[in-house]
Amino acid sequence: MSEFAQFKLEKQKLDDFVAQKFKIVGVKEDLEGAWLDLEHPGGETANLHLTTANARKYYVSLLLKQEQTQA
Amino acid sequence: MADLRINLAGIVSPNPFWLASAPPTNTGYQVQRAFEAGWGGAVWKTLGDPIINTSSRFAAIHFNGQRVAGFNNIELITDRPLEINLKEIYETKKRFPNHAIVVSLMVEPNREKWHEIVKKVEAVGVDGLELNFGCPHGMAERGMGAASGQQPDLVEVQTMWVKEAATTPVIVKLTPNITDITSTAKAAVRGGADAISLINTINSLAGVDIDSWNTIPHVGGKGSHGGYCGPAVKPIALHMVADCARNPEVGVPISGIGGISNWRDAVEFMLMGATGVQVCTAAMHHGFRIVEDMIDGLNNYLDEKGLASVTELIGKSVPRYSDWGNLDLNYAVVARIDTDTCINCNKCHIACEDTSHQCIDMLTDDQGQSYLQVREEDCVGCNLCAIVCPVDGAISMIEVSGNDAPMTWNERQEAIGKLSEGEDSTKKEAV
Ligand SMILES: Cc1cc2nc3c(=O)[nH]c(=O)nc-3n(C[C@H](O)[C@H](O)[C@H](O)COP(=O)(O)O)c2cc1C
Ligand code: SF4
Ligand code: SF4
Repeated sequence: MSEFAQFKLEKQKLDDFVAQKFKIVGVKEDLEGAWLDLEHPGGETANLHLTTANARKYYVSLLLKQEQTQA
Repeated sequence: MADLRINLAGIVSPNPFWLASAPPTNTGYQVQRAFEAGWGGAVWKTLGDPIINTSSRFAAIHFNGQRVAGFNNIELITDRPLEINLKEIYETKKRFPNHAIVVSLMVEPNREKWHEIVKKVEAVGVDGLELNFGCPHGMAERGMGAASGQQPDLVEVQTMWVKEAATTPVIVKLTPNITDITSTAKAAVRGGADAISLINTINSLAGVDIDSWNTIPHVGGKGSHGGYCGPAVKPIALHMVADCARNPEVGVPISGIGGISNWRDAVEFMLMGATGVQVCTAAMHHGFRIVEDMIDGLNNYLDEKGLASVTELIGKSVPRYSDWGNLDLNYAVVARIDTDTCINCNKCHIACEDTSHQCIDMLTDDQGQSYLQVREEDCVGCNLCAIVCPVDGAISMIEVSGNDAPMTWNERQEAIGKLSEGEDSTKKEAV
């Protein structure tokens, strides 16, 4: 799969979580990429593994937006 | 016509173009001819205990038909007696009172020796002094030049000794043969330097003759390391000038040196913080008269930019030079190929396919003609295709506006860090 297709897939998953009002509450970055912990206001939790450089960039852009809306 | 005059730490010259301390400034005859040609200043070939030079001294790197892309020398400081140099400096200053004459000095790291030479040189009426802590060969073996210039404490104390005796501005010339140029720049400033100049030459071996197996150059079958300069070193010099210019602990005027061959190079150095520039290799390659083009070109450029004085250029690009961590990760460019001007040489395709991100597709149009197209979503904007393309303008790098706000690496790490604050750190650790 092309890097872009892979990114689109990862972005889509992340966007879907955000659309469902999930928030990024934790992250661990290692040699395999970024491991996100997501949490729904209702208490539900989820995990997402992001491998592409663009997705690892994108989730922090979302995080910054999330911070802004919280502030 | 714009005002080309500069004032570097009190040293005034009619234009920013000075000859660097080197063979072009070896004698009064040469410096006077240079001033007649239009050079605004000259840094006299380094004075010190006269040395003896070797025969066979220079070598050059010619690259693909371009002569003297880089220049290498194993020459030392002046080999002429001090008294003769002083007499010629006096005569030159008398004939050209409005031109800047700075005299380069190098003696052993000894207070009395520095005091003695400073007093003798200032007595003949010079506009400033330049301390040569940079010569990478020959002198370093005797504890001078780069041997001093690579040790911040020696730079500081020797600058201090010079300042004790000097009444004219003191420029400290730095060696690039060091990991972090700002450490010696700061040492010079602590010692009281009025200005710094950089760079001197970079340690080098020009080549090995694959027939005779001799070094290039060689002196009777033996070689030693030399100093590299000329166009090839410009990016290194420019970075070092910029690094000093943006460091608030340096904070003194800068005389930019290293690979400056035309007015454009001079403008770049001034935008990156130099008050004026010094030139050696370009003058050795083309003669003193290249300064005419430099002056004309600079004048036209300033007029086009609507600037009244060349000093308005100084440091204008410095705020744009930052650390990698402050660059916007959400900024993006992609390559776009203009099929009208493309000559189908295929170089961009090969470059991207073999050594970048495999995103230039070879397609066929309705008429069966093949053409190249960038798959923009996979293009990382590395610029390689545009760099290797032989046709100017056939590949443009186009800014593609993303939806995301600017975000630097530092901001990214800060955001991740905040997330883990007060939480289970094993789960939320940022690297
Ligand atoms: C043959 C030769 C001799 C040089 N001698 C001296 C010297 O005596 N003192 C000094 O400070 N720099 C000396 N330099 C260094 C130049 O002043 C200058 O710093 C260096 O060549 C970089 O400028 P460029 O790229 O315009 O040549 C010498 C350079 C060359 C090529
Ligand atoms: S800019 Fe780099 S990645 Fe994009 S097409 Fe050119 S070579 Fe490929
Ligand atoms: S390198 Fe330039 S000229 Fe050659 S095929 Fe690519 S775009 Fe066309």
